[in-house]
Amino acid sequence: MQEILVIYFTFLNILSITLCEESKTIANCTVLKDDLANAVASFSKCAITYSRPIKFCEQCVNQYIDVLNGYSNMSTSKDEDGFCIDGYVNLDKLEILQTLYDNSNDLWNRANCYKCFQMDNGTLTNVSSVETTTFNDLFNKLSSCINSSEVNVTTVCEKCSKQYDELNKYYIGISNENERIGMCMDIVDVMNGTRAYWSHNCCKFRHKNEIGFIISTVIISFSTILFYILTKVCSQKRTPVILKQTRFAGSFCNNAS
Amino acid sequence: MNSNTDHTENHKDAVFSVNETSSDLEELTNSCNDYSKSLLSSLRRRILTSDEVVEPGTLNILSAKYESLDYDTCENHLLLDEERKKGTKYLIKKNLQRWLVFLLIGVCTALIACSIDISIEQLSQVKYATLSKCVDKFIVEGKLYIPYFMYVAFNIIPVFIGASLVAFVEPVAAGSGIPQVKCYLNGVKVPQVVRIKTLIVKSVGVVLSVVGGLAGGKEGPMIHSGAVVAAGISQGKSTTFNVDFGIFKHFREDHEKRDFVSGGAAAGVSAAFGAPVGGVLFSLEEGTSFWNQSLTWRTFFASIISTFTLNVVLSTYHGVPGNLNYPGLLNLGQFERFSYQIYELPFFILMGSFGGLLGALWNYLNYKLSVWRIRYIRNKWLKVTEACLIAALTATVGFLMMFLINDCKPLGQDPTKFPTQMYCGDGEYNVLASIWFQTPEASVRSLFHDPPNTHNALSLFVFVIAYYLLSCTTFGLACSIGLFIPTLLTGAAWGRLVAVGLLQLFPNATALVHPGKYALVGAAAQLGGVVRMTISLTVIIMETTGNISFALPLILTLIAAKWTGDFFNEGIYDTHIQLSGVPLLPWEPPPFVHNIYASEVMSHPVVTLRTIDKVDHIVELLHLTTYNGFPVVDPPIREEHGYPTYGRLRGMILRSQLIVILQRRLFNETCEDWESISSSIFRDEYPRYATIDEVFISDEDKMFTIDLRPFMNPSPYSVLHSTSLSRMFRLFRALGLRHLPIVNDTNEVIGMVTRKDLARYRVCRHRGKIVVEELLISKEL
Repeated sequence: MQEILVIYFTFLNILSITLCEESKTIANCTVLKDDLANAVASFSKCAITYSRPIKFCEQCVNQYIDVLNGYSNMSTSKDEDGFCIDGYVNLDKLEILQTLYDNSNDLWNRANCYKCFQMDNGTLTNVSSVETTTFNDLFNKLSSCINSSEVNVTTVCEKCSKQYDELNKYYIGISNENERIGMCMDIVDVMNGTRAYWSHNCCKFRHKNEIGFIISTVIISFSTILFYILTKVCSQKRTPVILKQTRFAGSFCNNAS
Repeated sequence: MNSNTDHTENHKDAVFSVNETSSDLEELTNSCNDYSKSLLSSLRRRILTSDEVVEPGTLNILSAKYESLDYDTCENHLLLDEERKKGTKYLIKKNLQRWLVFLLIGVCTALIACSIDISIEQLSQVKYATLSKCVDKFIVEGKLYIPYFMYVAFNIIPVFIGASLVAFVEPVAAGSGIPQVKCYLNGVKVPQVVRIKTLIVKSVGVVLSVVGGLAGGKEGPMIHSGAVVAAGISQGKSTTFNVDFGIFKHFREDHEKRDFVSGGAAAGVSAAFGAPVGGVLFSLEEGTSFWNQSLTWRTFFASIISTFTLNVVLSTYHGVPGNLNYPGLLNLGQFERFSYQIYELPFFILMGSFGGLLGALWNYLNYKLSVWRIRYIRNKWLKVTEACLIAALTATVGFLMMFLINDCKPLGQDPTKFPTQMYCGDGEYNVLASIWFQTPEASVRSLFHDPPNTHNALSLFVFVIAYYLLSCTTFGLACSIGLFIPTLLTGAAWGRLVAVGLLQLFPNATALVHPGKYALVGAAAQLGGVVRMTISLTVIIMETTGNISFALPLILTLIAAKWTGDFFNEGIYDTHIQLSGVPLLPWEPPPFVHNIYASEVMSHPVVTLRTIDKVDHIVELLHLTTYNGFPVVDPPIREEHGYPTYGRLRGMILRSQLIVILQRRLFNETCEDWESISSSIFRDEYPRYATIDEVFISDEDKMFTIDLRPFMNPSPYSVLHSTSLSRMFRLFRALGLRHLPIVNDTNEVIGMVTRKDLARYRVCRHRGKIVVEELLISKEL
């Protein structure tokens, strides 16, 4: 038993020594903290600035990367008291640093922004993903069509429908409509706006004369009612006979009288 | 033939002799006229009919075709022998086997539930995905009738197959099966109800009906399936397939089988709702009259095993094996935390009363429709046609609602499986299409959990009315389909509507007016108003929503719903039980019946057997009567007047026992040829005994005699003729009796009381009045 304990503690010692050696460089935690504070601040400012119409992902990606870096710097760097981050987290119930960092993360993830950018070995880059660029290309084609001089409100549906259909098809292809938000929020917002514009102008063509449909519903409903009436008319009446029960009092009365 | 006429004459004489001989009955027979007057002037109300003929479809007739189950152990010599031979070891083995059977019941019920669930999910996914796509394809071409006819066809085809199965193969599999299971647990032998054929028709039928888009759910049929599974497994044989595994032989009697069936019903509830405690309470509430601690414990075991097995299989099916997050078929989903304030309680009670009102109306409409069906739709083809028409009507109503109400919501905010655009703009979906193009169960879930403002008031309102009427029409069709889900759905929809209204009135109360909370209360109120179940329903809803702190609002809602509904009519299950004329014994004897005595209730001329009787007499008796139990008496002694008195009670023998005795030729004269006999000779034939016509008795055999004493039950429960109705009722209900001989002071059999004699006296609560009715009995109901 003792031997096992000795081996265990030696192992722990070796482990802690190697860990310490890894981050030997003594960092200035105050500087790192200020960096993170600035990064979070500029990210928040950017987010609010580009909140409507949403261009949040596209515009704030650099700020977000700063926040990520700032936080990871703090968690890996050490000064003489230990890891920088340990001086700020898990000390009180307010947890200001962690809360604000988590907030930024949460906002980014809820907007599915990571889908707009390419990932490099699991880390976020500020290069737009293929889907984003393709989508933007298609969208630009549509906008140039809508904004071109020969198109006005009445002709837009005919003239630009090819571009619109392409864009719509591509969007449906990249977004999974069953999920709450399938694609990165910038694209979703652009598409929602486009669709709203398009539907407002061009959706009347969906309404057709559906007289065949209405007649068939009437026929089916009517035939159900007719069925119930016919069953009454056509069925013969059945009359169950009551069984005479043999009772003490009854039999006695009958016999006595 | 000779002896038979002799016999009946004896009885006539016996009746006549009362006046002179039996002094103990003198007070009853003092004046016949006075007596019968006092009978009629009591609180009871007897339905007067002309010419002894009634319209079919009344609530006040009992059917003569229902027999009672026999829960009383027949303590004959054979049983005593058996007990002497086998000892403790046998008892322990039997107990262990019981546990094993309950384990198997849990597992098998859950497996059936899984296969039903998975088939429904797969098939409806294909159906609704195709429909949703087709609607959007043809709507731009202006040919909406194409997807409409596809919808109608997709509804009619499965329903046609399902309804044909039910109508032509096994009619008892129609409906939810809960009334039938309730009758069985109450002690009524409903023909065919626990056969394997019923199970097959039921489970295939429920898949087809739900896939066929009828307004119904699979939960009720699950309970019935559980009961059939239990009855089947516990017997270790199948009469249908003519297989006998030779196991569990000791469970082949009504008493043991009933215990297993109560476990099976509980396992069914547990699999359907993921509510093991609710399942146990369901078994308790819905009638097992004989209920003890060890049976409860085993029932609970079966329920837990059932929900566990279901969980394992479904989680594997959904690709997360080992993640036990699928406890039941009906998964209402975890509610996000909502709070309720004490001042909301009166409001919940109001909603409960409203649910009770709607439920009572629902029951009334369904009752009227059922009467119509009983009277006019008796032909099997008509039944199938009706089911198909209702399926088509469901499609029509759904499609018209999508077509007429253009309620659009942007995609991506709410989980919709098959968003259908209809006339909405791009990137939007039609809310009503999303409700109709999914199984009703998924619709309930979305009504409970979708965020506020998902549904607008108009579409909810139209939906409530349409679905209320549709579910009312659907229940009672020749399809195996239950009413839990459509009722929950209607209730959830109007509950949500209430939340929408409240938000209009109090725009600031968004925190308190959680639409899911009101949907839940509405669903509970509606369901409570229709089925009038209390304990088990509260617990089932609590367990399916996983919200224990909401128990008080739920129970208040359900009590309000039940009381309001009971003011007008009975629960839907009870109504259907009464329509089919089942002699069900309620929990309590009717009130005001302490002044009704056994001498008035009993059937009077009793057909008795003597301790040693002639074979041809017994055979004649079995041919001529329909009775299933015969008191065995000493031969009557002729008194000085020359009239025989009644025989002294020696025991009881059942028709089934007599048949087995005749089949095995256990005659006194042939006793050298008897094979070794034990009580297993009766168990081997269980549950289907031959009829007397199937037993061949040679003329030579008819001359022989049978000594009934070793086979009969030597100590049957019997009561004096002066026992009150309520006392007999309690004895019957608590012990699960089948026959109760009535004796006079000298222990001579003067009458017989059976289940139907007691069930004839039924309490009727109508608009606050309580009266006791005396029902009539008809053969052809």
